[in-house]
Amino acid sequence: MDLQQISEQLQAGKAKIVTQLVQQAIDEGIPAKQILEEGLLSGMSVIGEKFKNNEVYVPEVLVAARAMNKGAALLKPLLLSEGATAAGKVCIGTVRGDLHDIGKNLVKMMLEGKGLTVIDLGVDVEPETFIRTAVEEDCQIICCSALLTTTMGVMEEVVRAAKEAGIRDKVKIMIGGAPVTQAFCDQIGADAYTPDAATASEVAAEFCKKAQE
Amino acid sequence: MKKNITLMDGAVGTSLWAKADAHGWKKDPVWVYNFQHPEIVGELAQEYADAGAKIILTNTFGANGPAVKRSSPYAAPDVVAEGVRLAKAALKGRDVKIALAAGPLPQLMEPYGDLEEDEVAEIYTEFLTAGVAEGPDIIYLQTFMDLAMLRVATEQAKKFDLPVFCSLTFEKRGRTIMGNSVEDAIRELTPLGIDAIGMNCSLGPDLAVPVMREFVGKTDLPLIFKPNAGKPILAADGTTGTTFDSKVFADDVMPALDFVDYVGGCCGSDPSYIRELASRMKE
Repeated sequence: MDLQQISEQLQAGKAKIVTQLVQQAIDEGIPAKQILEEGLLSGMSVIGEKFKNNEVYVPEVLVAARAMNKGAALLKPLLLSEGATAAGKVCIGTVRGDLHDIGKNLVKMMLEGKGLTVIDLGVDVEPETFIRTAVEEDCQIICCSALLTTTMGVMEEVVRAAKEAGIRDKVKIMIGGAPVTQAFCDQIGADAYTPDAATASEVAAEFCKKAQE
Repeated sequence: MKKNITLMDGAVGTSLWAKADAHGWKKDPVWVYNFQHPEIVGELAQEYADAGAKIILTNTFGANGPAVKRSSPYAAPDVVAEGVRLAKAALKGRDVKIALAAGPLPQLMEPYGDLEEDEVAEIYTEFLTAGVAEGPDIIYLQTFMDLAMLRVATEQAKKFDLPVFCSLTFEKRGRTIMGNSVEDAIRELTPLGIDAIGMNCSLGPDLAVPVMREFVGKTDLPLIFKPNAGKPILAADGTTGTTFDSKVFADDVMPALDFVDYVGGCCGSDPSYIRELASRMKE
């Protein structure tokens, strides 16, 4: 079976068909890792690119991600038994005082679309919670989101807390959200600012790849 | 320049934060100031009126039920009612109209999120009932990114006997993040009987004018244009500012004055921006 079909149906948000096709591919004996990468993740990557270029919008990303998750659920036990390791682990949240989660959720979906394991801390997240999670769950990356100019300052607290916890050299801190800029990222000493969810996932995947080398 | 353009105010949120910052106060959600620091809320309304604005927004934008419940000990209807009262008290006897400002809810509606339409309608009904009881002149639904949510809010707003203004936040390509276009907005909202339509927030005027131009020729409704001062930046000293100043802002807004009916500023703009616009409109 042509895994490209899975990618295409995923891009169209056809969760049911994606699930059927993934099952069919499994039944044909195609390795789970290959189905994941060439079917699901490649489809999400196309959606991510289109979203970045304003060719599709939030609804299309959401339905594609839903289709991906349905398919990935079938693959999960097989991936475990194949001994496939996740590409990396990330914890993500909207910082303290900020309740906006649309952007954060998009980044989460795109990260999952790169095959990364994502721990979603939700909204209004204290700096300590990011740090504790990163330590306990052994995350390579902390992703912080903020929509408000008044809450983006909390990101600096996250950077500081990582230093104080002695994990600054073990974890990358990525930031994003409408008011966030590269200049702000440089100023607070975070590792990366990305202007959109698709770019965030690319940078995160790159960080995880380097961490594993 | 078009005749009879009405000048609106500039940002409420970022301007109140600037004032709070100057006093060394905590930057809370700004609607909290209706109770905690009402003097700066009234002061800002007066500054906008002094600058020449003829429509002033209430400090109620984000004071919806779930948000108020989550981050304060107050009840949303009280916060909203107080916001209208403060504006009325500050502007008593002046020739300005007061617009009850309501923004979107920070979550997504079904099928993309968990908010049900009935729930959304209930939240706006509570908000608007409390605000309208205090006697504003206009209901202004602004900064919406999801046309479906704006439609629900507008339907509730139309139950009151007040003009209803609607504006959405568009990205550079003239779509909201949910993918709604200018045409979508006109088609969906016009039959509801709204009184003005347009865009606010998100972009500075340089990038917003081309999007605003997309309204021209597609609707007979009066057009609202309230762009940001520019993309906010954080200065080295930790204060928020913009890459633009009031003169650049006014320069960039000017082309829109050939076709819009209501003009003002959004995030990052303050009374000096409105004063600058007022002086350009006089010329």
